[in-house]
Amino acid sequence: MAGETAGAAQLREVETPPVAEGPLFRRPSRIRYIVGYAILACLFLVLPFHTAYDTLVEDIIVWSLFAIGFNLAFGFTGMVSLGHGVFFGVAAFTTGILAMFWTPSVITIPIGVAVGTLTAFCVGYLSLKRARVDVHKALRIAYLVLISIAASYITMYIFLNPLAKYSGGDMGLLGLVDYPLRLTSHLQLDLKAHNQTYIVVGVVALLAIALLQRIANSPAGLVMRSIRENEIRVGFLGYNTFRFKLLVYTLSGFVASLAGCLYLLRSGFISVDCFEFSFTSELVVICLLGGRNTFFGPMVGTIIFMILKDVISAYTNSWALVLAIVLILSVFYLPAGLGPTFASLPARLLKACKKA
Amino acid sequence: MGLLIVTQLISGLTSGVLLSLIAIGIALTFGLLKVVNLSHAPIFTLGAYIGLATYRLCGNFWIAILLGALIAGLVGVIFERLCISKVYDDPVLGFLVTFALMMGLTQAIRMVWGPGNQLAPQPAYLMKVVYLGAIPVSSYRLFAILAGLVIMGGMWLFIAKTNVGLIVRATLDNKDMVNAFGIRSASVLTIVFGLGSAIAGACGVIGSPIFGLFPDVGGQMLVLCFVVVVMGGLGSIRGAMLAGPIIGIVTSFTALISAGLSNVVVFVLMAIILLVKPMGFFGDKL
Repeated sequence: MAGETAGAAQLREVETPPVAEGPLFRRPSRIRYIVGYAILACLFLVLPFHTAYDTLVEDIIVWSLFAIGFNLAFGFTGMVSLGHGVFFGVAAFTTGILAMFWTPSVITIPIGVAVGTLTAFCVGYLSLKRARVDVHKALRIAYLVLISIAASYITMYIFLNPLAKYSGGDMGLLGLVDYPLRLTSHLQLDLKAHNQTYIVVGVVALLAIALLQRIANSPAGLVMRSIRENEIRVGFLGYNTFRFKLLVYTLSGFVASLAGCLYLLRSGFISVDCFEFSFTSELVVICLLGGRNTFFGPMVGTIIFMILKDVISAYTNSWALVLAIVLILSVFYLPAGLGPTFASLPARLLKACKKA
Repeated sequence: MGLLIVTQLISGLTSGVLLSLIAIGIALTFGLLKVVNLSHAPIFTLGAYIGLATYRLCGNFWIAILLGALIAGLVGVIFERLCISKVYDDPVLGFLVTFALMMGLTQAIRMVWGPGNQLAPQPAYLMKVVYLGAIPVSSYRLFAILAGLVIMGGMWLFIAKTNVGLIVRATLDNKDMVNAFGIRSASVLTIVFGLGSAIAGACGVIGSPIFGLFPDVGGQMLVLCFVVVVMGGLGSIRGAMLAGPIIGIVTSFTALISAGLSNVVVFVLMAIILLVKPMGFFGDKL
């Protein structure tokens, strides 16, 4: 018995705090699925047409997708990356530049997403290759963070200097809205026609989120969470954790690229600001606020964050100070985030109704 | 040509020595707490601004350095006690908390002193031109190198020769063992954190005429400091001392070609070193 515990202590990584969470494998009932996605579809496809705050709603949709994808790497697998803004920006810039200077066609969107995903693969490969399990956990995080900061500087340089003629330099990519993206010889996506972009953004985001939830609920999602809890043991079970982490990183880079393209379609504008690592750090705050251990937590975080940002920016310039205070308070007092609280709300309401 | 090389060498060495000093603070915190301390950056900036305010009040550069170091150290201790000590041994949360502190303090500095550039304190008796042979050199840069080396030497003596330094080294090696001897490692951590912050503050005052004085100056330095720390080996003081001047000199020479390029070159250099020598020059050694 004593020998067993000593062995277990050796296996256990020193810095793995227990994470408060429900059962790992919780299959939601079919009714919950249908109701949940119906609400989501209303939010994504109906609400933008019926509100004066349509830009806010569209931003929330794009950022929800972005944050959920980011959270697969950050919350599920435990990889802190500040590089997702890079993939977001590379995809959006590639799409925009190709559409403006090569051919105004819908084909530029998959090309942009592919280039963004490829960037994610390269950054992920560089930062994960050396961060093996025998390296201290803090050092592994430092590698990821530093190489993503490096990527943000390098892409910023590329888009500000050699590509300034195309990317618009400091001003950002302007004027894309004048180029309707051709689908066939008769059909085209007009970026000025908001009802078209609303539908495209809503449908793509909805499908992508459904796909990601399928992945997160699959055995692969379980492996992700196991890597977060104890990478060494997952290795002992026979999984190649490096390849798995690279896969997750690339997947979340793919989602970031997709979100970048949707953002471009929504606003017709992209600037080099998204390459700065402070851009991606907002995602970290969103995931923490909403709950990084739940799938839809980041979406709850996005909604709260975006509305807060919209309201607070109207009153004060020191948004960063508010953000910092919110971040510290949520680390100390809300380590699980607000997502679980919201998720248990319907059940609690039901209980209260039954009692009454 | 010789003139250009010597000038760039000296300016690279100046920023390199100051980078080393700030990086030592980060390296020590990382070695002791396993926390990537991002809040070191605004503490550097805070020191610079406190120095400026003091210099405007009393006009004495030395008091400015002293007060900058003192207040920066104090803020460092407060940060450590109130926030960072709560998240030891969890690298993700530690990273997030120090990130929040960085963002908050930078914004606070921006609110107090305004977002623009300030004219850094420049005592006239240090702003002269001296001749090394036939080559004119700013005496302030020589002073900065000298001051940096003095502080570095003092730090080295403190770590290597004093009893407290011995405890610090022991804590780096094995925290539990230090606790078992009846020494509170928590107060060691606070001392080191305060000391690192005070040095960053002093560097802020000394470095402000060289790096400029604006709220994001610390953030720009931080990124380079991280490269220094990673190149030297996380947690290694010697490594930081060696890597700082290398980075400083590389930056100052590539800046001749293009200002934006120097960041890229530095990071490519870091990526290569990480791939060849993943633990840095002196990883896991003090």
